[in-house]
Amino acid sequence: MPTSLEILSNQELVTRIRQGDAEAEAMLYEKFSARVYFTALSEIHSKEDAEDARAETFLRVIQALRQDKLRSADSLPAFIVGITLNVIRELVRQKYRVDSLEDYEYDIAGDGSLEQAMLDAETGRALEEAASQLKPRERQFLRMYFYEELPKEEIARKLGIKEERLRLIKSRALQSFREIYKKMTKP
Amino acid sequence: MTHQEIKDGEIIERYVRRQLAPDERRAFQEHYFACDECFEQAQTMARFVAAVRQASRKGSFAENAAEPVAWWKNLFTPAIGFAAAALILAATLGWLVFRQPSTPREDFASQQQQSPSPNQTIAPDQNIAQAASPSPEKPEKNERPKLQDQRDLLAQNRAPVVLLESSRGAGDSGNQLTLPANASSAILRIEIEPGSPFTSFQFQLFDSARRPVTTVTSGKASSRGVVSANVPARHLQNGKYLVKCLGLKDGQRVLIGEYDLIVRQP
Repeated sequence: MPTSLEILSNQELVTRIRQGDAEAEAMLYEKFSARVYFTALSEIHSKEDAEDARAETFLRVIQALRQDKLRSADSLPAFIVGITLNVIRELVRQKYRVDSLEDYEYDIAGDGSLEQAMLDAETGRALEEAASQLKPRERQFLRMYFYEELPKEEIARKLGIKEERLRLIKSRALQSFREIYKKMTKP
Repeated sequence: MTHQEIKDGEIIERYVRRQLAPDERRAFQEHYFACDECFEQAQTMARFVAAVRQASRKGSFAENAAEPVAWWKNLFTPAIGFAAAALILAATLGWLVFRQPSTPREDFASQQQQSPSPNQTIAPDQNIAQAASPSPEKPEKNERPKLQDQRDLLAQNRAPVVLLESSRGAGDSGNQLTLPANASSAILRIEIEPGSPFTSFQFQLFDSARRPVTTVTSGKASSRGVVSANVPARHLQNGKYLVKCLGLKDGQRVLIGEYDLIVRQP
């Protein structure tokens, strides 16, 4: 019987789940849970709905694997993505009465925004620290680009910064944020 | 989708900002389900964008915003302030409590030298009382700035509201919304018949070329028959818009009204 310390390939996972191995099912959940949750959160921007979607997705995935509905273990990731998106569509259709994800606008009267879904305490602090290393014009660029969603050419013109430099500023700020966040969340 | 395509096409950033076509979006999702590195980068980018937007909404990245201070630096200033104040107070109290009382002979001698009037003598315990209690006129050091910050935040977050009315004719100037620069959103409102059967409502915004801009869903109408929708400011640039309001019930959508809207930013 596999232990959680062993890393099973997708093929091994699929085979064992087909045989009714509960531990393999738990390992499947461990392997893909964060991705399913992140995908749901990216589509619907509600932590509650994303958790519901994750639970329903794994129910269906495990049921399908037990019934040998997966043609090839190589396509396991794509298979799980497909089920995830179907679950999300059904949830959105049921709760918000829209026909497709493209019709669905996640800013529902100020509730369920991307910011509320993605932010935790460390994220805000990591950005503060990363932003403290930037010049005022560089911070203005981040606001204009990610919040006001202005095109780069317009930002470059308004701030008097070359477009190539804007890409560098963005990448430096992101890299700095990544390193600080990693340090903050290190177990 | 290869890593080179992801890098050249800025796929991760465009995924987080919902700028990918549906098939590209799906392709990237299938990729990061199999790729740890891209998944980690996607999560980081999502957090980063969310944090920048929130900071922008709060005004932290505005042109005249104060220099941001790393969060850990803020811990020291109030702590040092409190420690210093506590030390001074303790030293003062200690001096007042533990100082050597003068002997009656010394008191008499000093009184003889100064020749004070009887009315000017202050009892020692009155001195201690005055020293221990803070002056009632002086406010706490950080109280006013903290309240002011909260009021400023509230003002920034107060969204402008427009009550939409159907266009009456060619001469009608339409519904007008003035959107302040620091507004994060605006509230659109319509009035409907009280007791309407709809369980929720949708506000669809179209630009002057009739291209869809955004759709916002609202809950039930209020008891007075008012329906409101909160539209993010980034969707409301200067210009003319068409707003369609639809009522939703049992999976059906019914057009309630169409409204012209002109957005102006001072």
